[in-house]
Amino acid sequence: MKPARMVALALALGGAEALAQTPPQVRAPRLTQFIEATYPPGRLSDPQEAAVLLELTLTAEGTVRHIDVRESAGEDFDAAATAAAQQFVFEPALVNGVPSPIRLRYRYRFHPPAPPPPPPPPPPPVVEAPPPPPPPPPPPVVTRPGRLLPPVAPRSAEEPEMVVTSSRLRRHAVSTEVTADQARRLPGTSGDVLRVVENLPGVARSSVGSGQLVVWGASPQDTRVYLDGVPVPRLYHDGGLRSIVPSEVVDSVELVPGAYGAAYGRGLGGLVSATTRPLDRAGVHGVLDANVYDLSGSVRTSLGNRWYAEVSARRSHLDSLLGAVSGEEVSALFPVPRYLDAQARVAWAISPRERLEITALTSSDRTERLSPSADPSLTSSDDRSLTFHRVYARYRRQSLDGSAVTVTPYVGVDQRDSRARVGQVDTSLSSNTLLVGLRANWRQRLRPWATLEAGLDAEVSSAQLQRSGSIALPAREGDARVFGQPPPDRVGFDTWDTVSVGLAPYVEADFTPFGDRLHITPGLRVDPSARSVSRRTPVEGDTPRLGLFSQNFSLEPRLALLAHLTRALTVKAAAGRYQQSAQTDDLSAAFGTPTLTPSNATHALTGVGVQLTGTLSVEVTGFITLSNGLAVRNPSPTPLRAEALVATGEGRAFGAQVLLRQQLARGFVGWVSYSLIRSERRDGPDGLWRLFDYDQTHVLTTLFTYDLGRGFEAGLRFRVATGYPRTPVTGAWYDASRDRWQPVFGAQNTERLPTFVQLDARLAKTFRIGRTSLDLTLEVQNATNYANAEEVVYSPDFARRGYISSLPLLPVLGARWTF
Amino acid sequence: MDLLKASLPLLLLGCAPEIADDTTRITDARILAVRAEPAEAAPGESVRFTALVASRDGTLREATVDWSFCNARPSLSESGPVSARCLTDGDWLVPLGRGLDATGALPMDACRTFGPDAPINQQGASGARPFDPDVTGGYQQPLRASLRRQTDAVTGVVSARIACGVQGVTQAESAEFTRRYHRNHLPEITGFQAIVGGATAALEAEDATPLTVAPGASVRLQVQHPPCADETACGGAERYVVYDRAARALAVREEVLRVSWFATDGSFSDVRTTGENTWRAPAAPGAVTLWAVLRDDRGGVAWRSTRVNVQ
Repeated sequence: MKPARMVALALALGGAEALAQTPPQVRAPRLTQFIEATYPPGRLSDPQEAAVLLELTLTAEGTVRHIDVRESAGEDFDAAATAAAQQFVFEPALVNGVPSPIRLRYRYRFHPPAPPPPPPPPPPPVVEAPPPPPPPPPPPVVTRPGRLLPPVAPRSAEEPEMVVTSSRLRRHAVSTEVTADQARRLPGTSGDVLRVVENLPGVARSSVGSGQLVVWGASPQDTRVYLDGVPVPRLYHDGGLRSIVPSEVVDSVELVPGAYGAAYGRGLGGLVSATTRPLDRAGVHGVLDANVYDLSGSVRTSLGNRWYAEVSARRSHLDSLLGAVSGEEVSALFPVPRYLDAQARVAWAISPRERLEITALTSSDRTERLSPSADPSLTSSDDRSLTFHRVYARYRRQSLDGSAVTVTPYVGVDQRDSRARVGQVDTSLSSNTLLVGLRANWRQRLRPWATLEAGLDAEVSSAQLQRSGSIALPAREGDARVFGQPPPDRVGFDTWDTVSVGLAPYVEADFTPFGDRLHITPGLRVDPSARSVSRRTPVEGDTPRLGLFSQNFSLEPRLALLAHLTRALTVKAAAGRYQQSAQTDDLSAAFGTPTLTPSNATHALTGVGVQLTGTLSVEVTGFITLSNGLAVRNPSPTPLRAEALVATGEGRAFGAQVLLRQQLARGFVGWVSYSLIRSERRDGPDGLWRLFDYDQTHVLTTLFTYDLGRGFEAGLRFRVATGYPRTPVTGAWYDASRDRWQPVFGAQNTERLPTFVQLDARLAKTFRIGRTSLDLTLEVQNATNYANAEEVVYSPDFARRGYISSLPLLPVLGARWTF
Repeated sequence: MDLLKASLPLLLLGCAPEIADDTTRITDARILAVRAEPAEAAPGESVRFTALVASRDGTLREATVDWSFCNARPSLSESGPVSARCLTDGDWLVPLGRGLDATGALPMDACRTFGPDAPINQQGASGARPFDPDVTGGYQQPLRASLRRQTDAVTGVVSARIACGVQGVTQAESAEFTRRYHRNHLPEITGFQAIVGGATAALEAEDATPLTVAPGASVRLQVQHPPCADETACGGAERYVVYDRAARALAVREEVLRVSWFATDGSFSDVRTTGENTWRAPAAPGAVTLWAVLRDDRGGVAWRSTRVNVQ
């Protein structure tokens, strides 16, 4: 078996532009140890050329810290290229003569192995520039006025083979990033890239069908979700089966469970940040993906040398499938989510380091359920929908030394409608929100040891809301209730408008007094905000409504420390203050409190990371979060008007997480993550601490994928998670007016659902069809058919109880054609 | 495909446990319903409360029921219809009497404690939040009824509808509401019959000659009530006005009547229905008592019972 030959490696730093300020000298890294990749054995029957575009993150010592596959040539080629590049050694990039960490792109080309004799010559260990001379002489790189570096090679005819991108600021002390190409191959995700988030450390297992993100013991609504830096209302479609953008569009997803940098705020929990795949590939390419849940397609094309476009769409058909094979009764009884999403993107490569992208996306969900009953008091229906749109532009300009400017203006609309009926009790909540925002970020390396980042995170939202029904529905965190309990039949009604304005400038620095060995990253976010609510008090006859205006100012300091004690050992610590405005849903004069104040949180963490081998690492992080000012129900039996909620709740969560991660090597990729977390709440300073409704003490996730060769790939995911807390029912009394038994509760959240255990398996086969590939995937969820308890249900008189179990063994077939 | 068609619903349905609802089976003495007469009264007006107490041997003519008003307001964090304090003893309980029935005047401050009038809060402020009305626009005074049995006691809570008017409306709307609203009238059962093998038979009271059915027989039971017209008091599904807060106008609603079914043996196809149900006689011969309790949306209650001889 002949190794492949890497025949071209171009170093191209041409096209550089002088910056307005005095940029430092930059010398690109040089490859000093090249490792040949093994041509995938499964391809030898039909050998062909292939190229994998890698993005390498280099340390100041010139070793490869991280690899992302930016353009895939197939999973086997990706694996071979990544395994080889992981062992590369570079002469470090120099910034003003100081070795500096840097990221660059590297295209690994595979050529079919030559006939056996004579053996091909070994590839050159160091390739600096391609020999073919370009027609026009290359312009010199101007890095400082009056001083020129030697000319470097020009860009290749189509695109650069290697481009220094930036030295990214170490904004988050702890985060886990997974590339799309890797995430799609992991078991348990059904090929959906963003669903990998639920497998990351610090994330609780969400109940089947909920798709809620509980990160480090924070409420789901406290964790913010961003797509290209633009906030979106959710990560998953209804049911949690699929994410809001198809995998073809996603480049990577990053989870930051806490203590994140100053660029982000307005949330007490973690943040999930997904980025879209760069549009920079020539030609026409696309993906068609069909599985049990939905059908999606994506086409991207280049329009000349500098313009690129992509359109993609997805529509669910699970409801149709169920209807076809089981009749309407099942679809009527069980809430089968219906969703669609679509994206359109245009990119303009203004220059090699300057791009403008415009993205429009829409997402729509609708779930309907009808439970008829001979008993009119038990007839129930549930109809929920959420539609949101986003249009944003993203302008980025990067310079050779890592300085960069990113400006992302955006506008969006969220439309939410929820209607439920149990017996005679109607409950509805609808909201219509207009969102306008701007995220601007400027980063500059001021000195070889200091990088400064400053920016603005502005967000303006205008919402119109209407709610009717029981104040007890939807249930809030801390409510003692049982699953399926009919809501109280006392009802109210309210309509209200809110306008919120937040202009948060921030600044963050990255000091590296000892090169890459130590990063000191202080940051400060100033978050002044203003809010108006249309109604201060409930509707009273023809009394004119009186609005409310309030403002708030918060200083949110952040600090992160990262020290590479040795090449393999890293220690870190971080802390920060965070603030979150009251939810607009809670600002009703009838159902909430218009004067609710923001809630606050403090995060602190410390951890250690060890690089065990070139591709195997382990990271241990301990953390604590403290929050106060949480909105809870007013405990008084005689609360004042427009004070149904009070901001007296407090929370605390602490624990540790471990991530043992194997990057792609020899066809094997995967990780073991374990989180030990205790999250507690109390409703006021004098209250007793109790378990948080979403507390999960232990969450263990093990997953891996292995390339079996010949296009086959297999993977397993095994999860163990402590059950959610529940409040025990200790008795019952008879409500003779309603002919209904009512529960008597014991101490709050003092029992738990049984431990969740599940094994998922995935088998995939890739067929090469000319220049295209077809992936067939079979994923078997809950392969052992273990009956996991998802919820406690009681007999009507609460004398007996049982568990609703999660889905039984469920095979999910999928096909994906890439061209 | 046939296998898939057959198994898919089972896969989905298999996620929920089968917990039988046997609340229709009377195995021990318990309160099945409490009738308030009149069905709706203003604060200070006298109301007579009567309990339907069923036992394995049929309807009890005598029973020890301790009656008391419960004046504890539930907090907003309580999911039940009344405060959990109503189940415990304290000064929020106002004793009313003992026996199968009791009579007492609704508390004068009932509309302030449980109605639309703003209560005085614990700090003495007068701007406290009034009670939200129920879906019929009404308000209820809780009443605790504890049935003493030989070895224990079972607690039931009933809500007496208070005539409090309407909250948060203009003077004109309030006047219009007062003019058009009629207080709830107790529902009436005008017919209680069984259909066995195509033959219809009226079901008599427990002490009359019982209907005889075969073991395991399927018996169709029917409860009938009078029709109602317009917004007048009636023993059937009455029409009444309610203030629609979304539309900010008075609206006319019609009550939905439902029947709760109980028996000392055998099984019903449904626990509650709108008027008809199927009862399957037990396999073993013996006497069985059946109860049908008719309720309207506004707290009105009526009942019938009968005895069936299975042989």
